[in-house]
Amino acid sequence: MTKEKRLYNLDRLNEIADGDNDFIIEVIGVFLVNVPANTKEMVDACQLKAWHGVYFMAHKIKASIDLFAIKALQEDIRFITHNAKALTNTDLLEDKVNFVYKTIQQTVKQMQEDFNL
Amino acid sequence: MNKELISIFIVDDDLVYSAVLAHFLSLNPDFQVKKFTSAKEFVKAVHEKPDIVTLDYSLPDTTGDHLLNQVKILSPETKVIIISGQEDIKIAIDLFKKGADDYIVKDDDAQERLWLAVRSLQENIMLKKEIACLKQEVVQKYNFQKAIIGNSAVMKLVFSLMEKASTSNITVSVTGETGTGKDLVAKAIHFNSERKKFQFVPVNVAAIPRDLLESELFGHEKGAFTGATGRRIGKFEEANKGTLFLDEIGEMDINMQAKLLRVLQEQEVSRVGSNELIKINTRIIVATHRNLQEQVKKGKFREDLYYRLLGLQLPLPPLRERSNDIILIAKHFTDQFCHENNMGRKYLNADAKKKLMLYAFPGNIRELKSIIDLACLMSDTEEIKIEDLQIHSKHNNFFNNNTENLSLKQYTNQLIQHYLDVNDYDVLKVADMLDIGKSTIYRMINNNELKLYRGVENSVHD
Repeated sequence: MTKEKRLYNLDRLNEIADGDNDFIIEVIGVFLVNVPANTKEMVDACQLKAWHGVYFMAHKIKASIDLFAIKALQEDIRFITHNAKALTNTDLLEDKVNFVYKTIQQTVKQMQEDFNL
Repeated sequence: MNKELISIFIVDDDLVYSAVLAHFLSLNPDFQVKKFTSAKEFVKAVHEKPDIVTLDYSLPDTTGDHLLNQVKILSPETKVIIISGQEDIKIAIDLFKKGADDYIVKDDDAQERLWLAVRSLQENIMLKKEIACLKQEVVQKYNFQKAIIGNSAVMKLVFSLMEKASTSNITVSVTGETGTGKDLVAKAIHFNSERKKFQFVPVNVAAIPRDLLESELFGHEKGAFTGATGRRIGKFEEANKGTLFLDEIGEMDINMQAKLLRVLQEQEVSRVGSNELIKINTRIIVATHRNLQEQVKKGKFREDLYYRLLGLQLPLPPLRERSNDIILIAKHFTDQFCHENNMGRKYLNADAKKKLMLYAFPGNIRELKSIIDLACLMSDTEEIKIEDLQIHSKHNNFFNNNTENLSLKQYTNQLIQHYLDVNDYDVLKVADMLDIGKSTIYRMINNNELKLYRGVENSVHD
């Protein structure tokens, strides 16, 4: 069975880790615990149309998306951050937020498989 | 905080990002990194006064600028680097105005830029730590009991006077024979006073040619005299808010005394070649081995300046008048020399101690130090013996002689002679010191049992 295309890559993290595998596992562990929870909070805030909350969580997730190079989300997370803060295009935010949520779920699943976590 | 390590606090609620930052910064063994996920948690720990804090601008429980203000209040020396999710020039400028030391945007290059920012702050922090450490060492060094050693009653009085001097701005006049430590006393007073943050400026009046002293003390303007190629500030200005120590004030030329008096009265100086008056706030400590009162009587020292400088008088006793301290000080010098020269510990044996106790030390503590330094070097074992103590004083040293074979009469004569020798043949003083009648001494002089001048037989004395 061919492996599903990975949504993330560890190039940046490997560069920072400089061969320290324990550190990579530690950061992945932190990602698995925190990023899905933050994404869920973003979804909840979006359902309540609490745009500041959406902005805050999107802003927080953004650095992790960049670190793990989750390319599918890099544009969308910036769209959400910008518009939730500026209160513009709010009608488009729900779809984007849900997409981020689903993609993060898939990424988490891939990471758990890849690292037996 | 540790002198060598740079402590860095990372405040970021993004645990992934803070783990990365912590790892990245921990690659430098000089950095000690701690992570905080909320402002509340960080504020509780800020009393540890970290050297550097990286603050996430968007925290759930406060804003970056509010936290920056708190850091500046609670730990003003801490350097703050703001890390923000987005580039916003207005926010960055505002944060710089509020005291942030750097502003970094969370992007792919953030770690590298943070590294550079921290490295540039590190140099500054290390310098500050070095200065703080040196200041602390100076304060320790000039702690009264460490700078000047002595348990005798007369030294306890000196310490109490020094303490009074340090808690006020009064002018202090330190007197004492050469080698009694007048300069150390002056430094100790300064470094234990409120003025310790400012300069202690020593000037040895006797060592500066008469013609140059005015410019040395008050400074000069360019072209004020031949050779004045540029403006130079004087010692009074240099010691502003600090202490000016005028050593050997008794050697000051009478014309210069008038100028000094004016400066002390007006609390202002003008540089040579200038009419501009510069206000000064300088504490004055003077020292002399001379009896200034006698100099006044002889017309060599201005009476008005004498009273202006008198202030708190701090007479330092010669070492021979505090013989109980000799062994204490000798032990201190022994330990100091051995430590500074990476030698094992040495000690004075009983005979060596006795020899020191019985010597008059005309060169006072300075002489004792040189005798001990040499003895430490000469002794081949940890024991310093009598033969290691090389005493070369030109003064007649009665106590160096073998006294064991003397009769009581001979012993008494030699004892009195020794006291006369080291007290400038002041019969009244010696009589008082030895608690005998002055007529007894005069009688012994007339009987040629004592000499009034070294090596010279007496003529008639009453």
